Amino acid sequence: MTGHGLPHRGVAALYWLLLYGALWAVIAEGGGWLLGVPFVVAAVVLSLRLSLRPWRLRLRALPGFVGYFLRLMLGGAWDVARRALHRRCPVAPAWVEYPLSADSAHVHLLLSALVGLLPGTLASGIEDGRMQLHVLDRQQPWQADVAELERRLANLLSPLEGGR
Amino acid sequence: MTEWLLDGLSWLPLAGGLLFFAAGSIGLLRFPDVYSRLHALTKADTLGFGLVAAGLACRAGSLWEVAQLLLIWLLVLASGATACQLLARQAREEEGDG
Amino acid sequence: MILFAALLLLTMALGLWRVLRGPGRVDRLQAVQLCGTSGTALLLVLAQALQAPALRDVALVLALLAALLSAALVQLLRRGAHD
Repeated sequence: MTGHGLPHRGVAALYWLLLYGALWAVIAEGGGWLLGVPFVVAAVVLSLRLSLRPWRLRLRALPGFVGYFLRLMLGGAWDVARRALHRRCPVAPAWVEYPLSADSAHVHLLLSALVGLLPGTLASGIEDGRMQLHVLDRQQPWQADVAELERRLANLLSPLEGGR
Repeated sequence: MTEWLLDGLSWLPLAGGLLFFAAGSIGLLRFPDVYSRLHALTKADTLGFGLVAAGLACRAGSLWEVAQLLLIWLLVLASGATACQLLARQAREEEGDG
Repeated sequence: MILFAALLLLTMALGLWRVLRGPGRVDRLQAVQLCGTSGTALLLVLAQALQAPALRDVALVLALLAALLSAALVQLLRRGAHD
């Protein structure tokens, strides 16, 4: 990461400072800054030394995404609970492949983790742009949910792609 | 008055959370293969945890406490989502070996 | 509240039965996830019931460790398989 000018580093430092400061405040219930400030500063310096890039989110898209994801998660848990408690325990598991359309590694990473909380799907890995999915019921329409989540994730993280 | 009301209301998500935890464990016992069991544990327990945390947040003494509960839930969510996919991959590899 | 904690513990014990029985190694590894979620929830409930906020910090540490633990275990298994 040599191409980054000073302003970029300054923004990153501010980002980490706010993040770690907030984290300390939550954990220590807003006190203990005598101990907290050195640790926060140390964490910021370490992040800058490691050239960790802040994840840039489109904040305006965040509430909509969180609401959408919570709804899906509720649906997923409800679905699996219903199957577990049903008298005959109706599952028809199968392996399927989902071709990824986004090409951002961040989107792939988040999608394959979050898909495990969607109704009836579970990722085991990505090979050549295709996500290996385990579905709980092969009759269940899962494609639409996964595609919608992928679209929303790409939208949420889109500054990463645009801002070089 | 509001405190009393919140205390009563908190039982709703708490009971729901317990139900999902129970469903997750029952799924863990009843589902026929490893992957389906991973489905049950990941989805039901993560949501169950969220509901229990929400119920406890209704009884929290301060906003810091609510923020802590939220932070812990996010950690549990992230760990569950990562763990289930790692375990699924591991199970597949072991299957391929055998 | 204590009764609630006891019921939570019961569901966790129910899940542990699968861990005991296996049959696969991954079935047993699910214990990490089970304890990570149910155990953390139990600690949070106890923190409220016993008015012991320190237990919430324990829950925080447990949640943090659970995230690292399953990743570390899978790495370990993988290294063992390839050596």
